[in-house]
Amino acid sequence: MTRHPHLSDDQLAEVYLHSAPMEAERQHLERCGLCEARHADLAHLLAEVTVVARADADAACSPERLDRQKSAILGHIERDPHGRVISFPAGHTRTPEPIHGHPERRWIGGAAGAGLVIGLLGGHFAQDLPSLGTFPSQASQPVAVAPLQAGPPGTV
Amino acid sequence: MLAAAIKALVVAGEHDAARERFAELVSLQQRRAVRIAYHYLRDAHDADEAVQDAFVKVFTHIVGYREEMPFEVWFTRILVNGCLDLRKARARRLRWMLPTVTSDDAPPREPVAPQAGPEDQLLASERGRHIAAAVEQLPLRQRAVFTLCQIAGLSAGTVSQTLGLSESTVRVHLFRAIRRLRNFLEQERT
Repeated sequence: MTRHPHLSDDQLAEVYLHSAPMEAERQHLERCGLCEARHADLAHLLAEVTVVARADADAACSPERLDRQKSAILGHIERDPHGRVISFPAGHTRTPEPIHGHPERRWIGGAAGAGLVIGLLGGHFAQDLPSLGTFPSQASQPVAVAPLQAGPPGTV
Repeated sequence: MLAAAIKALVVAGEHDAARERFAELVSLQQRRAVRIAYHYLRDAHDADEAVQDAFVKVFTHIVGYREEMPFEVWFTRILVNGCLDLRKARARRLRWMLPTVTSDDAPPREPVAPQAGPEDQLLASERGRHIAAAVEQLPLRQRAVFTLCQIAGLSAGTVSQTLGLSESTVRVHLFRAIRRLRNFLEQERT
């Protein structure tokens, strides 16, 4: 089995990121100009990405804002060491706009409307098709009624 | 060490002294915490809330802190769980509501210092915007690992304890994130 002449991308990343020594890979890097150049490219890219990602987060949270945040944390644990937080800061909170009133009310209205429609349609069909549920023989059969026996007047 | 000292002070009933030491702890961890929260939530106000909540939880539960676990692991786990909860809450909220934040009424970014440093200049450049976009398009798990390893500067071992993943899994996610970032940025260049 022959060894691959160059380091893979993952091996290069491992060399860059891994704190433990990777002797074989490091020795290869010293000998191979191509892999050394790829390693330098990767190191440059990762350093650049790290700087930008940190600066991106830092731009969203200035040192003054960090100070305010720290004061809020310490104030909170002093006032109420058992409570939960809080939106911070008090200004600039997003206020989402309801689409049409409260969603719960929309549900209630929708359910009531659907119930009304189902009830009306059900009633309509039940009236139009009264014989659907009975057999023809049953429908045409005369009902036998036992003759009433007339009792003496005044008896129930 | 600092967390253990705060725990000892709280157990001894010396709450004022505990709060003073806690202020030092906040100063030490705050910047990194904000970076992590911001990259999870992509919103400065939500990140503020998550960071505050995490610090308050740490203080209120400091008696339960086990010294054999590195403080960074414990704290970052609390912070990351809080960020994930906030993301879920935000998703639930947005399911019903239309956000009204537009370019006109969005909260303004904090003013940038007049003499911007090289990092700010790089961020403001086109290359910087591409890089920020590349990090943002990473899948959540890869972004989490990349954020904790590269942006927060935690070791793979600490990240594996924090996220409850094996170290090799953390490395796999990290390598995939790096590969994806590189491909994205190369595509942008061409």
